[in-house]
Amino acid sequence: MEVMEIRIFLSPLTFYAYENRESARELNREESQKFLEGLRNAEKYEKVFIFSSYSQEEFERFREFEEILSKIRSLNFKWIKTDLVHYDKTYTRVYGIVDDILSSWEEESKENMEIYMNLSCGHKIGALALYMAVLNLVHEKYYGYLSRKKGKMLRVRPYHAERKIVEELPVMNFENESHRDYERCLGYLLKPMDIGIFKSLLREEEPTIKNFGDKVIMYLSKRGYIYSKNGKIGITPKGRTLYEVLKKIGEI
Amino acid sequence: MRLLSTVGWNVEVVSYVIDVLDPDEVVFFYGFVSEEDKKKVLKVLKTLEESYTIKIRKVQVNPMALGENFEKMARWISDESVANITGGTKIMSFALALNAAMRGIPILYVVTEDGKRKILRVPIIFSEGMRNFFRIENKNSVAMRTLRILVEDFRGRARFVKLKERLGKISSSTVSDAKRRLLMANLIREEKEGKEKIIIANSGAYLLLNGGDGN
Repeated sequence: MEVMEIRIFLSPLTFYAYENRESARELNREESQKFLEGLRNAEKYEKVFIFSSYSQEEFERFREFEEILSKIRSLNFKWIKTDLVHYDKTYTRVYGIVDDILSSWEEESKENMEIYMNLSCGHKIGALALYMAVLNLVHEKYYGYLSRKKGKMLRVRPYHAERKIVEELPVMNFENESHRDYERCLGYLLKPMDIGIFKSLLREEEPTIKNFGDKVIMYLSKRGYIYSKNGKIGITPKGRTLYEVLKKIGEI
Repeated sequence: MRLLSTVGWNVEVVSYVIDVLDPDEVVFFYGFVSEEDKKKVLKVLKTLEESYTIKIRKVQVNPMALGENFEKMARWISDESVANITGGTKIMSFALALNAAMRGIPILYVVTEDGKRKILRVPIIFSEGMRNFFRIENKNSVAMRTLRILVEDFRGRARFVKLKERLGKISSSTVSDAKRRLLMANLIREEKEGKEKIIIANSGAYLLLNGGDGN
């Protein structure tokens, strides 16, 4: 028996409303073209999800988007408002939405699922957040389907489509987390110190968190920010760079 | 500290990060898709060069070719690097962000909130955990060898039978399993030419093969 597939299409979308109307119109035409190219690359799809900082009504003001709007009105689509210029906000929003889609697919459907992700549109930070949120989600919670170890299959196809060039992006496991409370501890290690002293400093700092020192050391070592040698612990060039950057941008 | 920055039409999203981080050197990745684009980008580069006395390197990239950019940008990433992905095309920003995530260096972007500029971080890093289609750090795995042979010996496009031949004495099922994993990771695609199966490297292949090497 042939297994059927459900294909969904995800894409960010934005518009430009510069004072220079001709320049804005040109960018809007390009945006619209990229969206349509992305849609064509997905060929057939059951549902379209559009992530945008603006509402559908706001897009209706622009003639350049007429074709897109008339096309999507004939489809099964969902318009999701999200702040595409902000990575964390878009990431969280996309993660939640796609998790809802996949959990109902997991429970209710016997068909395979394909997620086609068009990353050519919208603000680049929002497009990156869309890509990372989906990759993270499928690796964290649906890896059994992604790796074909469970009965039905999940496939993800991220791509960038523009000027008839389709660039495929990899489906790999990226972690999307940072522990500022761990990373700020790099400051103690600008000069190497005894591991025991480092741990006791951290214990004084966070007495209520069990094994705080071990957690910090594990996190920082795994990322190559610290080294340990002959009972001493110190910061690596990569760790020093991170610490300097975080201080300068005011994260720690 | 070496700041790696994609450059497009906007000076401020680049200069603001230079001003805040005060790096020892900057590498600008720039490119253009049209004559108008070229004029604007070169003007931005000129302004930046005239504004700073620190060591500046300019690296021209193809704003539309992800694989090529993965290769070109990877050469400039070291442990002392930090990436600003705000300027340039999406392809340029994605190439720099993914390269940076492979090497675990900080990735930054500029945002304007309530009229004030702010530098934020994209906290991504490649996970070497179990949930990967294959172990990337194992350079001798059949999947990694297949990818390397495909890209280096066949310039990214080969008949499947030729690839198998080049891999040597490995069972067909092992080679097929490696191919399946590479397909799932979207690192290769398969096309038919008559009765022949052709394997083509996608851009991600160049990220993986260059991701660990910096200068």
